[in-house]
Amino acid sequence: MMTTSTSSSNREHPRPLLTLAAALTVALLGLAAIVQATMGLNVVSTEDGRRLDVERAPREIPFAAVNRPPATTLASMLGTDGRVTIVAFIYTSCNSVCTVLGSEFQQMQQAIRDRHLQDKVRLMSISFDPRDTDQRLASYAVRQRADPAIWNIVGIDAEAQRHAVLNTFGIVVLPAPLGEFVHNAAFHIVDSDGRLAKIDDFDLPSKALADAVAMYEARRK
Amino acid sequence: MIFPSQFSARARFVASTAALSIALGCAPWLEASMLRHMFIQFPLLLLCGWLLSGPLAKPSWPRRLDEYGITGLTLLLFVSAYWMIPRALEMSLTSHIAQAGKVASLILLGALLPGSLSRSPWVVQLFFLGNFGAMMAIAGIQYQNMPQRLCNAYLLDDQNLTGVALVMASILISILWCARLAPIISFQVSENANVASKAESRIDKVTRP
Repeated sequence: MMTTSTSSSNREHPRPLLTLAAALTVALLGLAAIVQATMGLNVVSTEDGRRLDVERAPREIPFAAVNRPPATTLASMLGTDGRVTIVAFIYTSCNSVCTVLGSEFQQMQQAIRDRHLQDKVRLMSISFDPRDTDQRLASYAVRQRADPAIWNIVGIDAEAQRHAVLNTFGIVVLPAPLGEFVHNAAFHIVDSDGRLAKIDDFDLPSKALADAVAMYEARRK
Repeated sequence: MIFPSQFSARARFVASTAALSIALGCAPWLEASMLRHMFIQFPLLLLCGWLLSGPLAKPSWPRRLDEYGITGLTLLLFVSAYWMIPRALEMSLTSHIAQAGKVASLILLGALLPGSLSRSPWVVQLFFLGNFGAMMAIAGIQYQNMPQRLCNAYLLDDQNLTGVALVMASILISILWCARLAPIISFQVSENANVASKAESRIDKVTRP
């Protein structure tokens, strides 16, 4: 009974090897695609992918004119200062995470002063909101008690240049209810050559500061 | 029952083109939300392929490469797994190549799946669809449990809602599969029982002097 049923199914399907080869090909291609999308089975989220990508290949900052101080470009501010910069993206009307980032920057400013790191590390807030004119940013700087020697707050007026900077940093801004924005907030560490080299989580300011100092020291050696 | 063959070729082609036009024409709106992206655009692309699957059933090459539906069901597992990776989903928003890959892979899956399902025995279906459903449910639970956003392009509420939808879809697919296969399985069981009793009677005849 068993032998007859097997032989009859063999007659109906004479080439199981073809199917096996096709299924194996599909599986291998599928696996290759999954390995590629997860950057070698390392990440599943876009944000983790962005961070790993930046660590593997630091990014040059594109040309963008900043509004405070005028007639300066972001790349020259970041690349010719000699210090490592911790960059955070903000909008001044923010009531949620930027307020946290703001107070974290206040505390980091104090930590930089206390530990005499102002020759190695500095802070920069970049606004992604076109409504943030230089006056608004200036009053934000006063509210935050930002010391311009340690903490710069800038905006980019030209839309195309602003988008180029956001794309390079990998910032995605989504409009949210109540006129707010949702964005992937983080500490972006830009090395003394002006390249985005590392991204740390926004709830780990001490790690960001330690990474920035380590990056500065590594460059000195 | 699986092939949309009762409709004329022209009707199927028109419907298929319509599904594709909606999926691509309304892409900015559909892709603005994770839920709409996965649960409106994906099914539209699968439908587009499914409506074109009639002609594919006739030539013999897909059958020879896809005996028992194993190749098509393997494709189902990998295509669905790939597009449930949040980074892959978001890359389809930012890269034209990824977008083209998404459209092509889902249309191809939709076109091959009906034939594969019709060729596969229920045990094979149980294996592949069981894996597919489990994967979908686990991904859905992960989407709901994550405190962070998995895609930078989508809000956390949207991600949670998509997670719920993934779990619900996996349950719904399992129920539909059981409902569709229950009569076939019970028929096969009774047929096997008949065969067994006939064999027994034959053995009785042979062994009895």
